[in-house]
Amino acid sequence: MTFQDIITELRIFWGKENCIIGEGFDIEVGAGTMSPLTFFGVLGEKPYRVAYIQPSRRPQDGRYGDNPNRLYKHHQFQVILKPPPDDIVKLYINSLGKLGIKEEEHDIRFVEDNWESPTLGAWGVGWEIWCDGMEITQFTYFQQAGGIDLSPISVEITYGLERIALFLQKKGSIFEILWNDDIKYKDLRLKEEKEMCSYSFEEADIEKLRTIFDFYENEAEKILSKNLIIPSYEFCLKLSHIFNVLDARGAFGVTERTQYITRIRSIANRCASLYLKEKNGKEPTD
Amino acid sequence: MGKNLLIEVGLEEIPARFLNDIIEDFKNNFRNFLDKENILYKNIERYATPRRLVIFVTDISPYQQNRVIKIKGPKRTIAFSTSSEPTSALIGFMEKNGGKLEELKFEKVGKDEYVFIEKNVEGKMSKEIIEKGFNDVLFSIPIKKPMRWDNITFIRPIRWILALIDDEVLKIKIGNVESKNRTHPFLKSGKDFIKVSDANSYFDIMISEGIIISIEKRKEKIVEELNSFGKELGVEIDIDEDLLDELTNLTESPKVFSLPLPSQGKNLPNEILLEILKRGARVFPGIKKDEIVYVFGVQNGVNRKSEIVKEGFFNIIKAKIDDAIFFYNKDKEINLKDRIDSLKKIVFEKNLGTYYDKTLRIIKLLSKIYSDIKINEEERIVLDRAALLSYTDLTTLTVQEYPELHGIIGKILSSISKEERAVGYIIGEFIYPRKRSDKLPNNYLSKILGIADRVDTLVGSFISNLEPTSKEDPVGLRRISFTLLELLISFENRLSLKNLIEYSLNTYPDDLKKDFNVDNLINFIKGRFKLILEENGVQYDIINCILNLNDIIPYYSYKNAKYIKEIYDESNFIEFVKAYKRIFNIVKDYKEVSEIRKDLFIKDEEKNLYEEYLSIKDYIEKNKILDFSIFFNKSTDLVNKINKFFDNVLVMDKDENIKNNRLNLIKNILILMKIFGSFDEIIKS
Repeated sequence: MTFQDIITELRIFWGKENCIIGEGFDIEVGAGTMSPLTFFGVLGEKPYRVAYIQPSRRPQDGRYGDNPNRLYKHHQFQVILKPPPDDIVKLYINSLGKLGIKEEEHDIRFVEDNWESPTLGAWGVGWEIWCDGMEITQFTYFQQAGGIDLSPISVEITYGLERIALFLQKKGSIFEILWNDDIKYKDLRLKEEKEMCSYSFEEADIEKLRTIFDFYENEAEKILSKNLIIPSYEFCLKLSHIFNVLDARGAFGVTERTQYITRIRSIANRCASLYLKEKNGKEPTD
Repeated sequence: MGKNLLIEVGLEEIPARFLNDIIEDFKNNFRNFLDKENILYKNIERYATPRRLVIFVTDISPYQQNRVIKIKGPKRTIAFSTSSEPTSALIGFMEKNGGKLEELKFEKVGKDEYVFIEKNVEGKMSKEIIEKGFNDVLFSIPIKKPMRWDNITFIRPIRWILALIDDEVLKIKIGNVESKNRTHPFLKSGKDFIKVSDANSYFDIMISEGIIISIEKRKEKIVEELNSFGKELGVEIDIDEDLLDELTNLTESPKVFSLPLPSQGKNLPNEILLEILKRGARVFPGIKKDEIVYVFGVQNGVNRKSEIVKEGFFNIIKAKIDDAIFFYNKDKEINLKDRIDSLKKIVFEKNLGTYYDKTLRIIKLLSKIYSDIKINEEERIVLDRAALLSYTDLTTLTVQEYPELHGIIGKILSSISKEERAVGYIIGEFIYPRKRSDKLPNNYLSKILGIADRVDTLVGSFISNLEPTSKEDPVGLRRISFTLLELLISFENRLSLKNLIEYSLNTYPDDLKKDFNVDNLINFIKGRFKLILEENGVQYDIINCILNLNDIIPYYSYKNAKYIKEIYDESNFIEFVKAYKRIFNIVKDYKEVSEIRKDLFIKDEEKNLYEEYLSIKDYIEKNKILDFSIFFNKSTDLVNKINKFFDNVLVMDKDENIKNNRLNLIKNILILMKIFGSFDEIIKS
């Protein structure tokens, strides 16, 4: 099964489970969780289901394409179900079946792994799911987002698409994965990996990025006071990405690093509570 | 034969590290519940898999025991009039509680006698009591990392409940899950559920599903299969306890498989490879002639096809090794000494700064420690260097990925960085013992660095109010003090707790340590010391004798405690203690110690005692004796002379000067003897 077939199968599967099939968000993010489809979707009481693919950038994981298992940018298939159905584990296992991973042939194991995003004021408990030793999915019951206790909670299922393709195609390196029948992963992405790593680790202009960070932060604050929640949150995501690049460049001392995280979280938390307030205010019957 | 109760709570996977505690608490709560409710039974058994918490009670009585309850009424003097007629108070009480005059009991409570009605309460059905009380039993299990769902808080979502007394279903409801006579098979495996028509048939059903519900039996099975593979393949298997426990609680249907080590493994030092296999891929290494040749994994699902599972594991092990080689090669590019500055980016504790700060503190602390131990110039240089580099491996990619490799990577990189061999050796072992089963470092310099490191953590944590409470010990300070003591008593040294703490305190900025109390920390460490002595069979009066001093030097305290234990019944020792107590009883509250004036002595016995005191004191001071056995063996004359003194000299002379001089003499002797212990604590004699 090719990389793109995996995506297609998951879209079909979760579409049938009444998920909105969304698109990847068009701002640099570190994980599918950061997309507004998740961040705002998990807030409030109204039942909600969404699934989408999210290209995710983690500058610090970049290895110039030298390491067969690590990437600057990888792809997540993100599913959010609010509230989680009782048979969620079975549903998930059925979804693997659609990818050709038959539960009865494999060792599928749930290994404790709790998740926390200090920049989003979010955390949850759950597992990483192993298939014959390979971590293929992150399964999390969200407990808090934007500093707000969630009720009901949501379940987040994040498929690591490169990992799953590695497993299904029995390849030793991500770069050997077949994207479709003709194109390999490396044909499409290797150059990008190399160059993005060179930029993030060597060239990124630390001082300019700090200046931009300050500017975006100001902008986010300014428009938040005018109740422009979504645009403010978008700036929050930009902040988060700049932070990641600066971090990869080794620009932060310890205290400073914590301070930057706090600055981002403060905006994320305010976006969340304003969003909820507005939602409850306008739709009291929810 | 009586009826048996079975309750199986089905959940989504419980984290392996919590399973043992949760099932143990479940069982204890359930037992306390049955006892409190007067429900008799023969035995309670507990079983647990990642998805099941099971309680099985044999011979459970169908009814609560009948009970007699006592209802307290008015005082006897109020219940009856002066003519012994029941008053309105008593009549009201009897009407309310249904008692008869001739059946009343009288009992004294405090000073007064009261009227009581005794009533037989018939036991209710056990089934009803359990149905009503079960949720409280389950939800009073303490959960360390709980989650919330559907307004329920527990370790993970509860998905089914199987509850039976023999073939009768108990009605239990948790959230929207209602108990049934059904269990669930291993993950999906085709069937959605399995009917359990009788509590007793549950065990056979689990066996036929390939599920081993007993934690102990799963562990046994894994060990047996590992051993038989080891024999068959001629390898020694490193059966790591932590990994074994984790895999036992990660699987409900374990089966061991073997794999050859992927060939890339040869590109990594063995010490790194072991860690990657055990912590990273969670497989057991199999070793032949110092070389890892096989690995052994535990698959979940005895009926799963091993070939497919093995292929997956082989690939993942290969990937983890590739990853580690990449890290290791990158790490080799930067020498340890060039990593010192990067320590500024790694936090030790938020109030206590970074590992860079910690490193500087440890080096300062060592310079003080050097004055209390035997160490030559060359050794100092080595130890200072090791201290400077001791945490630099925290900046490596390998340690960031595998924290347990801290120390090991430092050692390997120090040889690549062309550091002296001894420096690398110390870096590699000063962090041990990290857990109870670890050995102490071999090298004496490693021990000293280990001591400095732990004192710094203890003092720092007490400064930042991280001292353990009865419930929590987030930094693991109990373990750290225990190790500190183990290190201190493992080689001859004169390091005292007070000195160590004060040396360390000097390395912290003033504004941090305003509220720090040295005695709090000393007492905390003494608490651990007490346990060590108890474990060595030292009785409590000796422990008090040794620890009831303002400051202690653990090496000698330990040695002296063992010595006193040995001579405890000897008449010499009994005499020694008696002499000590004779002095102690007179001068324990005498505070003024001034110079003893020889010219004020009148009797020979006091002159003799004084001479003896001077000679022994001189010896102790000159030779800096802290070993009680030496003092004790020299103290026979002193003891004799103390006794002669008390037999012939009246301390409380009329002349104030003579009296004070005598008090002074014996107070000084007490101070000398008390260097070795508070012998008034000894019970014998």
